[in-house]
Amino acid sequence: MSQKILVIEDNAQNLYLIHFLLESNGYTVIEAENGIIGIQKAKEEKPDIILLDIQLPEMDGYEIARILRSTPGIDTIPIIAVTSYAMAGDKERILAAGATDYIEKPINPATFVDQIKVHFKIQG
Amino acid sequence: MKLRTRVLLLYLCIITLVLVCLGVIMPSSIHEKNLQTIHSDTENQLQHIDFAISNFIREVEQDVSELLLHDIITDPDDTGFTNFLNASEDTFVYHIGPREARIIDDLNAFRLTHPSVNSVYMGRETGTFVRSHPRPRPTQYDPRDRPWYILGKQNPDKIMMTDPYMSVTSPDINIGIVKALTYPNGTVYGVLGADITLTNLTRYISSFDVGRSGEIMLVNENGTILASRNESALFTNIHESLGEEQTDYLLNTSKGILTLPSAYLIFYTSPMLGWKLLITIPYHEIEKEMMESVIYMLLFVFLALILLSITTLIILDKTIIRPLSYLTDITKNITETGNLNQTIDLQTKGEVQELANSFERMIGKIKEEEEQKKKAFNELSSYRDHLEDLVKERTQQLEATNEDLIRERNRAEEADQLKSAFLATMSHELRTPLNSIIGFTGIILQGLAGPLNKEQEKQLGMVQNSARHLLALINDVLDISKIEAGELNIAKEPVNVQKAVESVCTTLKKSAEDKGLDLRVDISPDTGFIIGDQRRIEQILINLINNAIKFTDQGYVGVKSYLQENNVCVSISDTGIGITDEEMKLLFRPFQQIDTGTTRKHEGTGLGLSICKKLVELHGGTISVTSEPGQGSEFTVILPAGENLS
Repeated sequence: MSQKILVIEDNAQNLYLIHFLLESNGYTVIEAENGIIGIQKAKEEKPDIILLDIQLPEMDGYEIARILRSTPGIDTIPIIAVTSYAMAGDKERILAAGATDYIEKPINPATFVDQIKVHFKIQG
Repeated sequence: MKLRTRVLLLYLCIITLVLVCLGVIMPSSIHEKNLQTIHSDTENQLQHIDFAISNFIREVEQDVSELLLHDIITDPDDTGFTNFLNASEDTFVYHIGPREARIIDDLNAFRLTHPSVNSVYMGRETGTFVRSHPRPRPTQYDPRDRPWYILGKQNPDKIMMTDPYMSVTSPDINIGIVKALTYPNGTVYGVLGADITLTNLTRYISSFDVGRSGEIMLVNENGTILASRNESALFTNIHESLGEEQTDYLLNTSKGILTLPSAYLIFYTSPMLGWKLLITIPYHEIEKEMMESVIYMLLFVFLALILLSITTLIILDKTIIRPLSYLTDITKNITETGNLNQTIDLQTKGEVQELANSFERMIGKIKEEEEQKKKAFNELSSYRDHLEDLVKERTQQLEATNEDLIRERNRAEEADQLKSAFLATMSHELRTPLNSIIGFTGIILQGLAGPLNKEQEKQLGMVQNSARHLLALINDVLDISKIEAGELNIAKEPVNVQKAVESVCTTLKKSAEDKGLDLRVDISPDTGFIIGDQRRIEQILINLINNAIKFTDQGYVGVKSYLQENNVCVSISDTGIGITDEEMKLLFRPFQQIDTGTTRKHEGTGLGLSICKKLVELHGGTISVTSEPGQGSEFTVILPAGENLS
């Protein structure tokens, strides 16, 4: 059974891009277009990794990370923040909120999957 | 202490001092002087006494010679006169003839008229003896053997005076004044004499008052005491009470003074009689006298000083003390009441008057100043009132301005927040579509979406390059915006510069090789650490190395890193087109790309170097450049090394 990756991303093009890239590499992708759906899907599906966009409407990535980290059952799933790293301090803030790692936007399709794979190894 | 009291005390001290000094010095000098006075006084007295005694003796002598004028007495015929040659007390009977009786009357008359003379008598060669008064116990007596007779007979021409001798007929000690009775041829036929007993002489001498409890004595040439109040001493020798040495001195010196155990002895030799006249004066008498004169002197000095003190005090009081206390009172009055309207009414002379005048002038000056001050104060008060108005007015203005400023500041803060939010949004909004573009291009070029032909691959590569360039531009614009807004914060973490240089060079090696350039990397193993932001350090290096590659067509690009004097240095050199002096001036300014000529050969924002400079400076370092146009350039970044990090 292939590993499941939950992608929380509001931008449809980017969501599709990541979905395509991960599925092409043999992973099962679960989509969520906002935080509420994301947390819901995380509880239901128990993914192996969660990719989390920071700039999201309604509930931003920091808050989602905190909720995920404080929800029993899903609090150990690695969270990889995907951020445009716009302002100084963003990286520190997201790591402090509970993210395991971060990947800077725009993503590089040639290296993106390798950056995610590392966390499977840590977990497995 | 008051001035008056102090002066008084000073006087008392001076008086005491003077009296004490005099009391110490005076007694000895007075003693000496007193002794001299007493000596000379006493000597004078002795002379007087001597004169009196001499006169007394001479009188007796004269009287004796007068007796010799009585024919009845001098008649050589003494037939029938009484003699005691064979007399016996029990059997003797007087047979006095008429001639002898007359002689006795004469002699007795003489005795009675001369109180000091106790006996007048006459002896004859025949052994007869006639006396002024009959002998009460007529014993055997030969006048020719008696000292007075012998002396008179031996010196027939003169009236002689005998040594003191014991009376045979009475317990008296007598001195005889004797004269021989002679025939015209000089033969002696008898001697007439008058006796003065020493008791009488003493009584006579005692009648002289010598003062000072002084005692007078008479001593003859041999030292025998002829007269003294102490009767037991009479007819004894003076050496019994004086001792040999002093006796010798006394007898061989005509006059002088001797110091006895308890008294002074002043003596004088009678020039006529050859006797010594002595006066003893007890020490305590002299001391008493001296003490009296000392006390009188001291009393006098004391009174004189007191008088002087009182006089000077009165003068001082009148001329200095009273004016001073008057001025003091005025001063007190001024300090207590603050009333400067004081009139100084002082009639005196000299310095004090001058002081009073100065004082008056001073008060006048103070008054003047006080008035000026008051005037100034009034002016100040009015200024102050006016100032209060001014301040109130100004405060209102300031408050209004303040409100404006607060409003402005709020607006500015709002604008600032808006700007920050805008930057964040822009960053996100611009990157999101670019993410898609770069991502999908990558996916397609990877062949994940199906195979491509050559032309498609080439054109998609161009899309990818353009997208990447666009991303770089956006990043640069955002960086510059953040720098200008003061919002570019850098992390403060240990950064391994050696590793950063290695990593960047590895990444950029391909693009250098693509241009046919040699990327020469020379990293010193002790390059070390700095404290800063890894990403930004890499950004600086990428920018500089990329620039070097971009502006170099042939040759090489050199990257060197090393530690130099606590600084971590990275230098990037190239063999490119170089930089002219004019270009150098604009080099680190934003939006300046050198060689912005008609042919824009090199793409880029022109923001890179300006961002680099800012980032280096935010790390506390410097960036410098040396260049020769056509030969190449060398950029050197110097960053302060982190301390004790390995």
